[in-house]
Amino acid sequence: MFAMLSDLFRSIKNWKKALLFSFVSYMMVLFGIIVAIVFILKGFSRNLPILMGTTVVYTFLLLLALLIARHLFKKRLIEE
Amino acid sequence: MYVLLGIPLLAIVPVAFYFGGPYIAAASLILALLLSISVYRYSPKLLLKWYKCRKMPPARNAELNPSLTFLASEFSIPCPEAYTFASAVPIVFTVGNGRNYSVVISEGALDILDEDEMKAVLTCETAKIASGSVPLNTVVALVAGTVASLSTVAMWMSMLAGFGQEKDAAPRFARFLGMGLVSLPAALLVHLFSVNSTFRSDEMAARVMADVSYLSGSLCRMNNYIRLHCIEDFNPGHVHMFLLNPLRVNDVFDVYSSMFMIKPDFERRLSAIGKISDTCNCQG
Repeated sequence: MFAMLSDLFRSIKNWKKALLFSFVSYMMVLFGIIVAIVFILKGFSRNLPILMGTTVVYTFLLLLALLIARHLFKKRLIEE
Repeated sequence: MYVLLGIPLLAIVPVAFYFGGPYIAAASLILALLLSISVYRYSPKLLLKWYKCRKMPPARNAELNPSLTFLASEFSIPCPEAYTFASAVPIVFTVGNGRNYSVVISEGALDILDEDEMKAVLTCETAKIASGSVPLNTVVALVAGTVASLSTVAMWMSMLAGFGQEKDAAPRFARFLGMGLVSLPAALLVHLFSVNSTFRSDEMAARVMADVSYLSGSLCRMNNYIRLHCIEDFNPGHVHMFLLNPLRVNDVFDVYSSMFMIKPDFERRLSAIGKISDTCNCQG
């Protein structure tokens, strides 16, 4: 199982791994933003539309940036 | 060029208009233009300070200056000044803003290259100036380099918070996460705005050189040194303006470097230089 996961990880190109880790880092920031909103507005369930809106807009912009990056990297990254 | 640099800053104007009205929007527009002009004009000086560059020692300058003057007249460009900085890695790059240019050669490059190889490297750098890619690449290097260096701030904050030393796991992990945040915008800046003129400048350099083998020889020597001995960390946002790529992905902590490797494959570069050399010989 671990050998298979290790092989899978090694087979991914480095720039794709970098994009994956970037996505995780940005998601951690989103978690921080959600926690901050919940504390500032004092409540989770009654501020759900704000939280969902923030999450959707943030994730959409992030995925857009990652897609642009993927398109550019595929074309321009020459050296591995 | 100023307008191009001002485009990202213009995004501030609608926000300023919404919050402060037309006067604040006009003031922010003027501020954005001033900021873009000053970034364009002062980016070479800031990059020279970044690497703690100093003017070439007089003895070395006496060797390099005649070559630079000759090459400047050959390519019809302003004569660049030679600078050096303390690094064992053979790194050569050029910064400039369209009026003044500076060729920066690391102490490592000065040590390992002989006189003819150094001339070949200078020809390549002056060809880069003649190709017109240097001003934009300098501005991109300053902005992308500043963004990329913010990950070091994350590492220092982690160290100052008592999580250990530079090589310990926690500060390295903080830097890894910080790099995850800053490498994407920095890499996008480099990919969208930098000009990769490597092949073009190699070709221009090869066409004015009497013996092209010195160019391929110097590139091979520098590349071998970087592959075998390079242990220094370089800001990935600056790599697009270097003569050779010093970034390597040795472990998972270096994985973000792979987003900045836009230099052409070294073997392809050598074969392109070889082809130009053959063409020149046939014509000769």
